[in-house]
Amino acid sequence: MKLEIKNVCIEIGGNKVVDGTDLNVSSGELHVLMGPNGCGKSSLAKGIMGHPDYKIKSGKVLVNGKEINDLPANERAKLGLFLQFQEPVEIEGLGILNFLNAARNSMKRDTKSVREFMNEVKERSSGLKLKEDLVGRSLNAGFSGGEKKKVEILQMQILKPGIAILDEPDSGLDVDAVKIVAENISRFMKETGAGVILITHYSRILEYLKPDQIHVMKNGRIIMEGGDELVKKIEKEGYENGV
Amino acid sequence: MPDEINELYSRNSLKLEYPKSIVSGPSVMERASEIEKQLDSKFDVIVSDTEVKNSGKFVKVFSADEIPGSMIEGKMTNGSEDRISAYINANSKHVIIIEIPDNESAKIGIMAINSGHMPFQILVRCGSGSRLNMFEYYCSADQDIYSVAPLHEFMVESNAHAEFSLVNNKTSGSCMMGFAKAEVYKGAELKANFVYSGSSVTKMKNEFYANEEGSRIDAKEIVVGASDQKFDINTFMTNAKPNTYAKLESGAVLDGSSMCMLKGYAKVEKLAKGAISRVEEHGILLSEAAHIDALPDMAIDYGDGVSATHSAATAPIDKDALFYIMSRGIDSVESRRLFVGAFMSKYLSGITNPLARELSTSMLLEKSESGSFGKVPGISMKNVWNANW
Repeated sequence: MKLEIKNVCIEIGGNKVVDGTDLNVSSGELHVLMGPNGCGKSSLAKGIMGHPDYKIKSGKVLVNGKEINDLPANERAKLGLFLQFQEPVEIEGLGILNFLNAARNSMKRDTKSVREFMNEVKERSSGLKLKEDLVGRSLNAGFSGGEKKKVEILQMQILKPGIAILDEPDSGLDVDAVKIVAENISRFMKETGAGVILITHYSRILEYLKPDQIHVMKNGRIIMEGGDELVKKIEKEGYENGV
Repeated sequence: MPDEINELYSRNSLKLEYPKSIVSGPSVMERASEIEKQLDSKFDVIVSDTEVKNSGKFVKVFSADEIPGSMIEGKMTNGSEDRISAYINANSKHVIIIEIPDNESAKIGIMAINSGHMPFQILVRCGSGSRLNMFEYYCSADQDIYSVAPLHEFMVESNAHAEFSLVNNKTSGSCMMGFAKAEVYKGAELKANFVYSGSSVTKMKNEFYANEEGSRIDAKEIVVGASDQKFDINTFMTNAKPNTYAKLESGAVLDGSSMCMLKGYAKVEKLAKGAISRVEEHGILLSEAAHIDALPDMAIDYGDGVSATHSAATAPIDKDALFYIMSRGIDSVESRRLFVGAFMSKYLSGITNPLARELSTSMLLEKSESGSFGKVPGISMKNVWNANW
């Protein structure tokens, strides 16, 4: 699978938040997107996934060569895209299992029986060190920040997208949870061959992952690209001086 | 009564024109049997405007002029101060009396179906330590232009547990107006669930009294409106004694140009030390023309150890929540269904009668998707599927 972002500009409420961004991601690749607060990382993620408020005003988003600018979010998901939300919504009354089952039925990506599906959820939950009763509860309702992030990763593992955009999967997590989440992302990539765009502010999660490329965004544009050394530079000097 | 004491409620009130003559239609018992078959269920009591079919244990049916007053031990007031109850009292043909003896248990299903105006009364007494699960299903024999007007009076004696679920699925053109009064005594519990979906106009007045120490009332109301339906739901709760608990949760999902007034009023009386009182009203608007007036109110006459809160929130369907659901590959129609279903589930979760719960779930989801109501819904486990390991 290949995701191509070509000179994309995104507006929200008439304000330009992404200003001519290019980024290509293929299966198996891990791209890290960094940048100061408000530089447009999450807006880019939501725009790629098709949030109705985040309008792609120019440029193209292509999946396997097909333009998806005008597709609704569910069609983009069916093409293999997945967005892990930085702040997942809480929906009281919508059970996680019901939700995941509805999602996998819509995607038609596996032919697992309900029992096999349940077993997979149980196994993945255990791998994420989620409390056993958590998936029996309403989606994110009353969850801690860490639990919400882990449930997002659980959804990714069950739905098996071709390319996952992970919007700060490490923010708000303690050191052990960062390690667990990172290991699960790594395992997911190995098992499925999926590509990942990882948005983060911190280098800690990258101690457990091997990015193919680091991209730094500022004022709605990718202004610098490189390898691990870029992370070290930002860590040492910050965005103001380092970039 | 809230209408007398609360000017806001008086101003926001549907004015009903009461039927001048109580016409009765042809027998609908055949149609009732068909509905039972469609639902694959038997009801203990089928009440119509012309007759009542009763096979329920602990259930007795009387004509209105032969009510044995002693059955209810003089404790009930029969709500005669209220106009709806006064109308029902004056015009009822049938009075159904349910008496659960001390320490006995019962499940009672009642179908109310009519082809003419139908004011009637149901008086329930749950004896000490008894358990009652009661379900009432209101439906129409055909396209319905009549009113159904139930008057309920409940007396839940010490340490008894009563669950009552009322589901209205009557066709458009019909009207439901009702009055319910419940008194709950020492250590007893009443769970009351109201599902309002059918009828063009619904006006209900409910009064719940936590009358003795340790009594509990847990009331849930869900309104699902479409087209130009109108709902006026007025529920009045009182914590009369120490350590009582009274909670009212009201929800509305409105589409088309439907409108709903949720008027939940809670009163904590003098010396109700340690009382807990809650009124919560929430609504979702599925269209710009739909309208909800959520008007919770409280009167607290005592403060020592009392916890009392009320809240109201109404909003259009949450765009971010829909995007979240759709981002998992679920189309917009199914996403909306899941979101609305999740909202409703809070109000249906208190119903433990499986038929009442599944029927309500199917009926409400179908209505929120298509706007149609009044048909016998297909019951499907998929709507309430909840896996458990």
